[in-house]
Amino acid sequence: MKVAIERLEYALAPNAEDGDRLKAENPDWRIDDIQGKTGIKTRYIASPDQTALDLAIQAAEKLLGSGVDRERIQATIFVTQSPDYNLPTSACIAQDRLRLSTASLAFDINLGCSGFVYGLSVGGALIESGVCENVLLLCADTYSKYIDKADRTCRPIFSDAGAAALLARSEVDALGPFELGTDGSGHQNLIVPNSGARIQTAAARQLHMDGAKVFMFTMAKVPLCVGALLAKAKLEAGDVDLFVFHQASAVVIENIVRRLKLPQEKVFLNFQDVGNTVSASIPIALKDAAEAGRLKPGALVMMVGFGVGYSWGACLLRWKEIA
Amino acid sequence: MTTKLSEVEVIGIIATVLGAKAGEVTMASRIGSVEGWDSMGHLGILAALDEKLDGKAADIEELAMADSVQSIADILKSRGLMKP
Repeated sequence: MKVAIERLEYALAPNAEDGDRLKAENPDWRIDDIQGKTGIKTRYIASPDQTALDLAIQAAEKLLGSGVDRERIQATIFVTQSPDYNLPTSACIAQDRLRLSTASLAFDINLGCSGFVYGLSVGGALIESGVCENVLLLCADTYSKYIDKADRTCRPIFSDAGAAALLARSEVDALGPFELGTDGSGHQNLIVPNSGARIQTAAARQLHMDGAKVFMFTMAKVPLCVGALLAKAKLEAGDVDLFVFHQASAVVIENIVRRLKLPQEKVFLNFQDVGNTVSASIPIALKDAAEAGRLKPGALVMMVGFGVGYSWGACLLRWKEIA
Repeated sequence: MTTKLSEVEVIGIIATVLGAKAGEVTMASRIGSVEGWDSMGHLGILAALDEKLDGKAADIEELAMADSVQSIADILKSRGLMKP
């Protein structure tokens, strides 16, 4: 696709949580052991009155504040699984709060850790097909609102954040191909059971994650997805300058990298300092990689998202200097 | 040639991942019976088994549900990944 990421910004939730905080609230947790496996040292938690939409707006305002004409935005896609409401869609509220044109289109995508790649494919297709000249792609989640403070499986991993990317037409073929996949047979393994119409109870909505099953899914599926994308692009792994995986946790990424036999220097990691920010994780990693000098203009990046659904997706991007 | 593990090797892999002392892990050990063998520890065991078995364990979904050394060994035996 002749589409590029022109600008990229993110906003972390304001309340940093480290191992000391977890230990103070859960004295029986072996924090060193947990951090040894997750690799995550610091996570960011939204305030009680702060939602994923608020974090997405923060990121978008940073992006728009860097010299982007709001009237120019023709579409808003909001990837989230922590919307303000089941209805209306959060993207419509974002259009209003960001004072974007009413002549623009706006819709949500309900996906988690694969969501940025899916958002790029949909947003890119809107531009490529001539429906829009540009797309504001927002990715934000606040899984912390679905996690009990005593949940040792989920709490040490998930972090709240929002990211905003401006997609626009490019002179060169910069985005794609894509490799996207779904296996809904795993939907019960990462789920908030009473979050919709299927199960209606007054109980608190809580995230359930069968970590072992999700881990086996990632170990089996992600390397196949990467291999399929390389084959589709007629490339070898060595042709890719940087791999940016969804920043799930140390044990997940280390084992994907091991199975793919990738050199460590070609894999960007920032989960240690940010945590697993779900749909925002890949754009945050991209921005951090660029700021760390790991992405030079023209570099070939492979982004790989995977998780809840099960859903997975990978794509290639020819990096352009971003504002 | 397919790598096959012995019971001693499976116990050794699990003990190493958990940082357990000699003799602390046996065929009768289960999740929760050895320090560190919780949901997080189990991921480390699955990863270590996959590494030792040249990537063949990742495709065995049932290993995610195995909750003891014996059940892990039974699953690996059923897939021809353990020595008789």
